[in-house]
Amino acid sequence: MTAHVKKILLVEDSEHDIELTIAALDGHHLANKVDVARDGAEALDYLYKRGAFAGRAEGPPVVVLLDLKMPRVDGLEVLRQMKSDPDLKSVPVVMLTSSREEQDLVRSYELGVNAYVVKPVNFQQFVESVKQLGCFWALVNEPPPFP
Amino acid sequence: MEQAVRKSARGSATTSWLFAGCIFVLILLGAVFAYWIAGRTLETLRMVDHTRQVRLELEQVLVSIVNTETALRGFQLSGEDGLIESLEPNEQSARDAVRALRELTQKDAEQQERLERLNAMVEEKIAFSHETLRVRNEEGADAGLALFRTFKGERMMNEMRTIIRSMEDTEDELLKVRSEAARRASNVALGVVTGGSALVLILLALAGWTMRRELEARHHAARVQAGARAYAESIVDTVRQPLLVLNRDMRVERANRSFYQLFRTKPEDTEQRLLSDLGGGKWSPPPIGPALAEVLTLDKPFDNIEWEADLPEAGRRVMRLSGSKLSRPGNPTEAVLLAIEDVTEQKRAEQIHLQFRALFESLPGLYVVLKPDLTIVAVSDAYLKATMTKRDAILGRGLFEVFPDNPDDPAATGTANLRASLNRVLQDGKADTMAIQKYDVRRTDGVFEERYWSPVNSPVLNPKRQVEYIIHRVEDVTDFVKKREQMPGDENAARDRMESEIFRSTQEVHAANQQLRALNAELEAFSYSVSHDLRAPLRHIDGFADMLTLHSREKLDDKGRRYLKTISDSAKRMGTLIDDLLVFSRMGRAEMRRSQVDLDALAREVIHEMEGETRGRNVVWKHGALPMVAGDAALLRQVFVNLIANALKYSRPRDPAIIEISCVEGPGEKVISVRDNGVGFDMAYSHKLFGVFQRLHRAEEFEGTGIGLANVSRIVARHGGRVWAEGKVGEGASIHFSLPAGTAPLANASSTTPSLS
Repeated sequence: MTAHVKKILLVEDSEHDIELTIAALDGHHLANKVDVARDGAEALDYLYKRGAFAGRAEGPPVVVLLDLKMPRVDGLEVLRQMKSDPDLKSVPVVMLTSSREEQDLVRSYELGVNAYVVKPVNFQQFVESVKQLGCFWALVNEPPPFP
Repeated sequence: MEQAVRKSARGSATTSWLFAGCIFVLILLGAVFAYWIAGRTLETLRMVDHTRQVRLELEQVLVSIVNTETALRGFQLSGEDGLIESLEPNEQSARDAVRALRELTQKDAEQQERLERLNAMVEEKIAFSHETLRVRNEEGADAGLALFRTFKGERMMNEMRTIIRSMEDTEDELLKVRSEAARRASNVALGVVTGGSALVLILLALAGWTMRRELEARHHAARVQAGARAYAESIVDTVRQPLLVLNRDMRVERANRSFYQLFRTKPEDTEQRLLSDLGGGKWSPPPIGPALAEVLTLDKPFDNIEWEADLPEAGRRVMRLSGSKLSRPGNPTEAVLLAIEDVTEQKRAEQIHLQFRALFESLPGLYVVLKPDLTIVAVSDAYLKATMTKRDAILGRGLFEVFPDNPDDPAATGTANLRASLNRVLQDGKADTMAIQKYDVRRTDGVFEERYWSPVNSPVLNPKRQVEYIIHRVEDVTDFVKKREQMPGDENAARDRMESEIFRSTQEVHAANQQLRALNAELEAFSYSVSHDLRAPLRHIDGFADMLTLHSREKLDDKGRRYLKTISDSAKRMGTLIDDLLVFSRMGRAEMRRSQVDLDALAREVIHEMEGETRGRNVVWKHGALPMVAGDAALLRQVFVNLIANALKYSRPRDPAIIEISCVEGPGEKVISVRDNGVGFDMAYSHKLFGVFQRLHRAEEFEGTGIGLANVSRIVARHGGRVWAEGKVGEGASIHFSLPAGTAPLANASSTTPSLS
């Protein structure tokens, strides 16, 4: 199993959301496996190991939890680039967003998102959602083999 | 592949020739050698004979001389004359033998020299004999006997014998030398012949091997060719186009699978048959007879000769025939490949296409079909007539190239408005109805005529829901204007005023529509922002309040925990309110998907789904028959969900709760009612029931945000109906909504732009 060295990439611009998400993942001892990118541009740097992430040793993350609305490069653009790159398109991407708008859903699925989760306002529900997400993608799901 | 085979065949032919040449040369050499050996052998034989003859003649010489000596001696002793008589012939014989010997030893100087000595001795002996005889005859027998006794004759005889022996020895020696040479030569010959034969055998073996190899190569080539043939045939069989191979006599050599499929026939009815006999003689005379002849005689192929035939098995077919000469490597006979294309369906489609085009063009309305780049692809005759254009002159050209603004009318907005409308259609994929436009048309003489139009632009979508065509339909409303111009003069002013009023107001409506579109887009951006940006801080409030509760459970007293819970609950409630508001907003914006909706089935379905909430309660349903209506099934379903949920909620304190769903068909409308025996409401506040977030009960009594009836009201309004409520505190409530009877026009989305105020 290679899952234990793999990371979850959380792409989120809101400091509070990052804290809440990590708190939720902590329940399953997944918090230390989370790497955070603060916007789409940073996420792409992380995935392509460039800029601030040039020295990153690990392979692609087991899952990318992607916010939609972010400064600089938004979530849809990150998703588009990932899914059109032969090396990254098999990395599971989960949209974790406040938006329930149909256009965002349609657009995300068109671009090949693996799951779309609306962040509930209710914190208990939010914790539950994030826990399940982390559990499923980081522990249950078998990631694609990477060289 | 074939080339390689041919190349190797050529190679092996060269090798064969080389072998044949070698063998021929070897045999020739053998023959020459044998001839030479035979010569040598003959020579040896001749030499042997020669030696024998020489010896014979030498013997003859000796015998003859001995005879003369004997006769002479006898005479000396006896004196008998008879003995003398044999002298003469023997002397002659000796001389003859010497002569013969001279002939025989002609080429041998040594022997010749010896022979001359012998000859001299012979002559001397003869002379001595005669001397002896003379002496006897003249001086008496004793004198002769005395001479005889000198043994001179005896010595001469011995001398001769010596010479003869040496000559015999020489001949023998010669014979021996020659025989040895002959033997050696024959040995060489034997060796050469043996070697040559061996070489020939080897060469023959090599030739045999080469030939075997060549044969194998040929077999292989044949196998390869057979494989290639099978391959080619499998391709021919796979080709979807029916194919026939015809020989010179127009007999079918081969037909492929597609042929059999198209003509529904079998190989036994086709192969080796004359072309004209195929299909029960329908190919007679062959529709392509002259062309086929030219293929063979002039090597001139033909393409796509169309032929329509009523075939016994395949029915009426339109085919296109193409033929070309078939060059077949290794097969000198000529053949024609006849390719058949079944264009029956294509023809039919073309016919249908033409029919539809004709149908479209003769439509009484004014229609133009445009591609997304706004070029004209089709136009109705009526449109051509109204715009004074010809079809050929405008098809394939851009709409605005053909119909420009009137350059003499500086206020002309026709092209600008039409372009904007077409762009909206392209962008939204929805029909766009334009206000009446003044859009002058150019006569053939170049002068513009004043025209008023009422245009509608509708998209034709492809399966991917992209705009494939735009149908531009216009009504020429100029006549309407013109007729009014013919009214009596005193009404002219009023009419002009009215007309300009109408024109102005349509322009205003047009402008208002534009504004509404902009507002709608803005609203969408606003809801999006609400959805995303407003919910995030609420989540944070709830989240951190929760975490604080967990974190500081011990440090907080009850009051503190209650405060935190209130913060949490308030955030959650606001989240619910925002979600409801978004649903409400969407309800107004969502596109209507119109169909015939069975309200009865819809209501039963909703009741069935509410079972979870009615469990443990005593609910009596009174379900009257509900009609079929035209509308959006999903939205109408939402109406029932809200109304039935409300009825269940407010009748919760009742046992039994009675809920009645019924319909009354009035003039032009159908009124559907949901009635309950619940807590009811005060009619004084009935106007507040349908407002957003308006509630007549405290949240502690009955949960909810107060959006349900607002949604109902909005949906019903979009269906062209109205909604109202009746009730009395403690006695229950009735909510009624009406839907227009029949398939009344449904309200446009933009006409019920939601307001959030």
